[in-house]
Amino acid sequence: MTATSTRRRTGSPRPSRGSAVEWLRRPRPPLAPPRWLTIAGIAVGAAALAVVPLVNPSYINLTVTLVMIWTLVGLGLNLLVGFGGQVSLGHSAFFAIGAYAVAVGGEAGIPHPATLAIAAALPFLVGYVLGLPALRLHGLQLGLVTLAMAMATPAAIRALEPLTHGSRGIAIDGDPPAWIPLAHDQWVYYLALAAATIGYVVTRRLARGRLGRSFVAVRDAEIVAETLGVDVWRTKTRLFAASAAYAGVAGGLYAMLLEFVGPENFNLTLSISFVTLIVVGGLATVPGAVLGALFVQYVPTLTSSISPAATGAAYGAVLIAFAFFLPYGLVGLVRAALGRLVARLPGRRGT
Amino acid sequence: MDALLAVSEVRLSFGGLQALDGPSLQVRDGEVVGLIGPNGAGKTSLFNCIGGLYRPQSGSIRIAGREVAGLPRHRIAALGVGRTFQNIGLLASQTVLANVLAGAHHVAAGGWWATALGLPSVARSERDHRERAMALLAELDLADVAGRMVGTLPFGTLKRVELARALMGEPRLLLVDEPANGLVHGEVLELGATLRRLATERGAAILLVEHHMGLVTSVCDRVVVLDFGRVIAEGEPHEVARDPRVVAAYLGTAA
Ligand SMILES: Nc1ncnc2c1ncn2[C@@H]1O[C@H](COP(=O)(O)OP(=O)(O)OP(=O)(O)O)[C@@H](O)[C@H]1O
Ligand SMILES: [Mg+2]
Repeated sequence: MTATSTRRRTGSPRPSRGSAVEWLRRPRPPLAPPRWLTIAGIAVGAAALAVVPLVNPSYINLTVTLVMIWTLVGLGLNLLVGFGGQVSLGHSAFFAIGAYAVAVGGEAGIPHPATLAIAAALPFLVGYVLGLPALRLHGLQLGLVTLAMAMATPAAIRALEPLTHGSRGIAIDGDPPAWIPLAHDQWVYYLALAAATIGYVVTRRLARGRLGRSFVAVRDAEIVAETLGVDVWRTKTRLFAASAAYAGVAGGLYAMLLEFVGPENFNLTLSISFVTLIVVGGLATVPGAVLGALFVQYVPTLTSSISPAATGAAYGAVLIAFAFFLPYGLVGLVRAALGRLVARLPGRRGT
Repeated sequence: MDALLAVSEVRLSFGGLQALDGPSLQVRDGEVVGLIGPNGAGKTSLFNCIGGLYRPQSGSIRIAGREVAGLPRHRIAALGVGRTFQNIGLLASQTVLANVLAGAHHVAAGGWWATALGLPSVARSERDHRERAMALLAELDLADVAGRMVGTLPFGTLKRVELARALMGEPRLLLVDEPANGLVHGEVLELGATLRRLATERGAAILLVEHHMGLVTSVCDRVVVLDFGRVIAEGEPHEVARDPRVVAAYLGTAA
C-alpha cells in the first residue's frame, strides 16, 4: 500500500517526462553490478594497471601517473565538497604542502617513500586548523577564504625562501632505492598506483556507510544531521583534514614524479582544475574522481594544441555545461546510460 | 522514579512574541502523551527546545534527569531523543533506505579509523542496520519504496519515512510532529498502532503533536493542551476534548 494523499509535496519537483534535460539531470543510485562482473572488472583493471609501466615509454607512464595523482586529489576533494558540501577552492595549497614536504624532507636526508608520510601528515594538520573556519563559514564565504588560500600559495612559497629556496625551487631525486630494479618513471608509477588504490578503497568505505550518510546529512541539512546525532563540528574538521591529506600525498608524488618543485607549479589554475575534476567526474561519487582525473589530464592537452587560452575557455564552458546538464557528472551519465543494462545482468548483486 | 522527560516553566520568545510562556509537562517511559493546541500554540517550538534547536530564555528541560539546555544537539540525540519534523527533514537527494539508515547514526558502529580500515565490526553493524531498516520499512508499508529517491514521493509517505528514520535510532524519547498529516484514514489507524506498540513493547516515551483528534484519543494515555505557549488543560484524552477552555481555544483560532 502506498499513500495516495498528496496534499503537500516536498521541495524538489518531480522530473517531467519527455524532457531530455530533465532525464539527464535526474539523480540516480550507483550501478549495482553482479558480483562476477565486479570481480572480473577489478581483475582485468588491476592486471592492466600493473603492466602499463613495463610496456610503455616513459612519457606515457608519466601521464598515467599524473592521472593517478589527480585521482587521489579528486577522491579527497570529493569527500569534502561532493559528500560533505564544504566548498574548497584552495586544495592546491595542500597539494603544495605535500610537494614541499617531499622536497624539503629529501633535502634534509629523509629517504623518499618515507617523506610521503610527512606529505600526508602535515597537510592533515594544516587542513584540520584551516577546517576550523569552515565551521562558521558557509557556501560563498568559505569559497572565498579557500580561494584566497590558493591565490596566496605561490607567494607564501616565495616568502618561505630559507626552506623552499623561493623561485629557484628544489630539485628532488625521485629514483627508487638501489635494491629496486625500476626506472624512475616506473617507480613513481607504482607508488602512485598504490596510493591511488588505497585512496580509492578508503574513500569508498568512508563514503558508503554510516560516515558517508553523515557527510551527506551535514551537506543537505545540517540541523537534521545534528538531531540524528551527527557531530557536525567534528565531521567538518575531519573532512577538511582528510581531504587535505589526500591532496598532500598527491602533491608529494607529483614532486617525486617531476623531480622538481617551484612556486609556479602551484598557482590558482591548479585549484581550478581540481574543482573542475570533481564536477566533471561527478560530485559525491567515488569513481567520478577517476573520470575527472582523465578529463583534467587529457583535455587540456587537446585544447592547448589549439591555443593555450583554449584550456581556460574549455574549463569554463565545461563547468557551465555540467552545472546545467550533468549535475552528477560523467558518472551520472554512465549511470543513465548503463543503469538498465547492468540491472538486467544475471548474478548476485554486490553490496 | 523521575519522568524520562521533564519540562518545567520553559520560556521562549521571538522578539516580542512569547512562543512558550512557561509550560511544564512530563512524559514517562512507555507513556504516549498528546501535545495539542491550535496553530501557533507553541507545540513545534517546544519540540525545538527539547531537541536543542531553540534555546529557551529560561526554564529547564531534563531528559533522564539530565539538563539539556545548552547541550550540543548531537549530544541530545545521543541521549536517545528521536524526532520527526512537521515539514519533513529528509535528505531529498537520497533514497528512502539511505535516509532511514541515517537514523541509526548514533547507535551504529564505525568511526573514521575503523571505517577506513574496513574492520569487520563496521561491516557487521552496517549489515545489521540494513536488515533492521528493511524490517522497519516493511512494518510501515514502505518496503516498495525503499530504493526510491525521497524527492519523488508524496508527503504522506515521507512522514512515515521520517518516522522509520527516527525509530532507527532506537529512541527512548520520541517526538513526533503531526505524523498523520497527509495520511489517508487506514494509514492513520496503522500509524496509531505502530506508536502504541513502540510504547508498550519497547517502553519508549512518546510525545505526539497531532491535529487529528481520532489519532490522539486512540493512542494517547494523556493529553496536554497548549494555547499561546501556556498549558491550558491536561488529562485523559476524552475529558480534555470536552473541556470548555480547550473548545474555546480551538474555536477562537478557527474563527
Ligand atoms: N523561528 C521562529 N521565528 C519567529 N517566530 C517563530 C519561530 N518559530 C515559531 N515562531 C512563532 O512561535 C509561535 C509558535 O509556533 P509553533 O510553530 O511552535 O506553533 P505550533 O503549535 O507548532 O503550530 P502549528 O500547529 O501551526 O504547527 C508562532 O506564533 C510562530 O509564528
Ligand atoms: Mg507545529
